[in-house]
Amino acid sequence: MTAWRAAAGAPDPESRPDPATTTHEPGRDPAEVREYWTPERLRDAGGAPMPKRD
Amino acid sequence: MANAVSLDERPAAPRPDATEKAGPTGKPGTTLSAPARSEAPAPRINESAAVGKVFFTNPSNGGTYACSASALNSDSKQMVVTAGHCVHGGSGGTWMTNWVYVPCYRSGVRPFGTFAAKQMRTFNAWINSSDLRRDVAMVTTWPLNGNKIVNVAGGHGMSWNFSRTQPVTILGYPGNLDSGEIQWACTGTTRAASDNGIELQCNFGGGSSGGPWLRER
Repeated sequence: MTAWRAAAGAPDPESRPDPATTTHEPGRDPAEVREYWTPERLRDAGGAPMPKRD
Repeated sequence: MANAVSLDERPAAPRPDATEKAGPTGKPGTTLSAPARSEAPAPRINESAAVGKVFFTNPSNGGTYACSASALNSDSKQMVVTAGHCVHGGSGGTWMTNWVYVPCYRSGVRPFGTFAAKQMRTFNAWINSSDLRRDVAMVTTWPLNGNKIVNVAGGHGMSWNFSRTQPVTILGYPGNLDSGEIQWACTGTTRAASDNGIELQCNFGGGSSGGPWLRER
């Protein structure tokens, strides 16, 4: 398998996408979230699929 | 990673919060990195203690997934950089849940512990349009036992406006190599991609998203 890795780069100024950002606060107890990740769950988590480039 | 530069030998430059001034036609700049604690286990060659594995749940399908990320040195000492799709599903998606970062993860071992997300930030262009040019995210993590992530695992610096042809080492946890249980490195010289980004051919599959691209000397 060969994968092409791409990093966000600087496009032409005319096509520069919106630089605005949005934040999100999960709002959960961090200890509760840490406890969710048992060794079994860590092992079972699959690699996140890479978005496909056009 | 004997020859990789975590940007700490570069001169300090204006902070990247002046994003409009740091456009692609501007001068190259960097921010400084921070080392891990001296008593921390020494990373092996081609491994960085500031690089780790991200775990999260995607509420859209209930599945649990892994990405890669790295701690970023900043005033807060709490920031992690990863890919946008590791915090939000993009157009039609939502924010990921149960999000944690495990620096220097290796085969189930968590030498620095597990850091939960306090705040996630990504670009609207990723959230609304899945624009790959903005597939980037920064996450502020909660301290663990009173310790901030960069103060224990170290943190990389950041570079901008360098040539698209750049010798780099990419670090991450590709799921197709050792089942994503070990940090891998891919070294080469980037080239300009058709979408004005940069690319490097690596045998890195899903799970490697969000890992740092570190400039070589």
